[in-house]
Amino acid sequence: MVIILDLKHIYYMVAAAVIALLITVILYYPTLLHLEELGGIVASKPKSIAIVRLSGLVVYSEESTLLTVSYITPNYVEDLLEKALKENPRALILVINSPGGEPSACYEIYHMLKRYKEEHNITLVVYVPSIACSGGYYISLAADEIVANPDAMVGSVGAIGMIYSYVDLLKKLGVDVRIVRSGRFKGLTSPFKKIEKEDVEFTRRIVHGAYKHFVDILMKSRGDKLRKENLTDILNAMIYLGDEALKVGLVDNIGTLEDAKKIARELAGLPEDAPVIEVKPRVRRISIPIFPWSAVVILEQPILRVPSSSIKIMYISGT
Amino acid sequence: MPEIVPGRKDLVPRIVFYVYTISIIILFCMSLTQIVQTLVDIPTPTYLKLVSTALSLFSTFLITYIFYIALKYIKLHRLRLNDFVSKAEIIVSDKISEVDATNFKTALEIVGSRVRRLPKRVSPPLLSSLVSILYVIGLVTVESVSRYLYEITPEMFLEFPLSSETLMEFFTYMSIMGIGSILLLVSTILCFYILHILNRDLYEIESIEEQITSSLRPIASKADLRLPYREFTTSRRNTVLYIILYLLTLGLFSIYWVYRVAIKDIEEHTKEDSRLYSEISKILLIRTH
Repeated sequence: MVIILDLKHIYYMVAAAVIALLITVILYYPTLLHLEELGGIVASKPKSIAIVRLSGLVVYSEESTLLTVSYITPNYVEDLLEKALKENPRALILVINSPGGEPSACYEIYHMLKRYKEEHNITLVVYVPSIACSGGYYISLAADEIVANPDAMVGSVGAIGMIYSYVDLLKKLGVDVRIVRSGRFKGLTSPFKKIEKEDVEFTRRIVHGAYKHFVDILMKSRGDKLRKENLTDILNAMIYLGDEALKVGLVDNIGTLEDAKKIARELAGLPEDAPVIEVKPRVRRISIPIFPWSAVVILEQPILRVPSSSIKIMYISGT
Repeated sequence: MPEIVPGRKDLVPRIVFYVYTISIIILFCMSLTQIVQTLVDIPTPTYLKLVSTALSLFSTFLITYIFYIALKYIKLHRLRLNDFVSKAEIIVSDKISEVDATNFKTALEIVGSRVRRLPKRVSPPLLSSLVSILYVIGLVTVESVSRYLYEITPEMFLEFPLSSETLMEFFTYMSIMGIGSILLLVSTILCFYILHILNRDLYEIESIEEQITSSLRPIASKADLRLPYREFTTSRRNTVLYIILYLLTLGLFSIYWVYRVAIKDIEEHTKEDSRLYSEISKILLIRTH
């Protein structure tokens, strides 16, 4: 084995390493400006306000359907919140534009936001530009302050259940479906049988249960802020415009996104020049809002998905 | 007797090769980690990308250096061989006749034409530095454009249907990235080519030397000298097979390939040549005028 140790070879290797490092540094210069991405080795960015936009139906899992709509799923929210953390936010503005969605997803997102606020000591402000009804409003309840556009629609505290049957349709098509059940409550949600009294009762029980959970969260979050005189309307799923919502106590302020930024800055005790950073999702979904939200929900369930259950409970407004 | 065989100082230093091997193995492990992370949908940490980029550049610079020294060795050897065949003469003594000397001179002339027919290669510094230049330009292009595309693509596709300007912008960046990728590919192909010519040229030089030795062997036996036979001969490596092995091992085979062609073969050849020429020098005279 011949090992030739000549200093010129060592010099060459050192020079090669230096040049390689230099090229890498130049190549990654924009990233190196944000050194905390290197794993927190270097001091973090200045305290900032992060803006996260959530738009669409609140669902647990995103499924591709013929009607392309935007969805807010717990995974999607979690990803955005994680990404927001890289901006060293002291305040987070959630721009929520949602007519509502599935109770389980709303519950999960609401608690995720609460946890996020507490764990990272972040002031959470929700801004409603257009609509935050039902489930959309549910997730807004995690905020320290809710700011709404005066013309935005807010409210619709409640749950809705839909039940449908294909029996008549199948009969017309000449399809005979028989259901064999092990117990009287088995297959209550099957769309291949006639809707009976106990189906409606069951749906009512589920709707009321979901409704109760919503009301509990509402009272816990804003019980002291809601106007007593309007409580009945609020709990009967009334929808309010932004300025009306302020009067009845569903929101804390009305204004624009700029106002929301100002409020967030004040609540978090940030200076005027604190950077405002918009957190963008890694992959955006293309949204074609052709249909009104309720049409999407109604059409999607019985037509586009092969139904296994005829019941769909939603925190959704009728808009 | 002037130096015919390039010396040990002209060989590729093993220390450079060892550093190259270590960097390639680390790079290979890091690339595997990145692939696994991508498969399980875990974003690759930025520091990992930084280290792997720096390491890939470093290993490219090292292989450039290895190629430069190896190509320089072959060039030097060819030049000295050429010098040898044009100047060598038999020492006429009581054991070696005039006729032998003339016959040997004729044999050398035949060999000389073979030496002159050896393919003229691009100069070693240019050929080896091309590997690095193409790689650096390709890598910088691909890295910059892919990062830019990663940032702008989601924004682009927010619009629907896509405007012609958006599509044009997208395809322009994709084309630039394509050019960068081609440069990276060309750099790799150039490495294959250099390894190929290193082996072929060394093989050719060795076979010319064998021709000289065989014409000298009867003369040497008359002078009671015994020219040794080579214990090691350079084989013609199957480049196509080596490329396939390189692809199958995801690039790891390059370590062996470089070791075999640019280090081991040249080292063994030098050792054999030194042994052989020390015996040859006893019956040969090289004119220096």
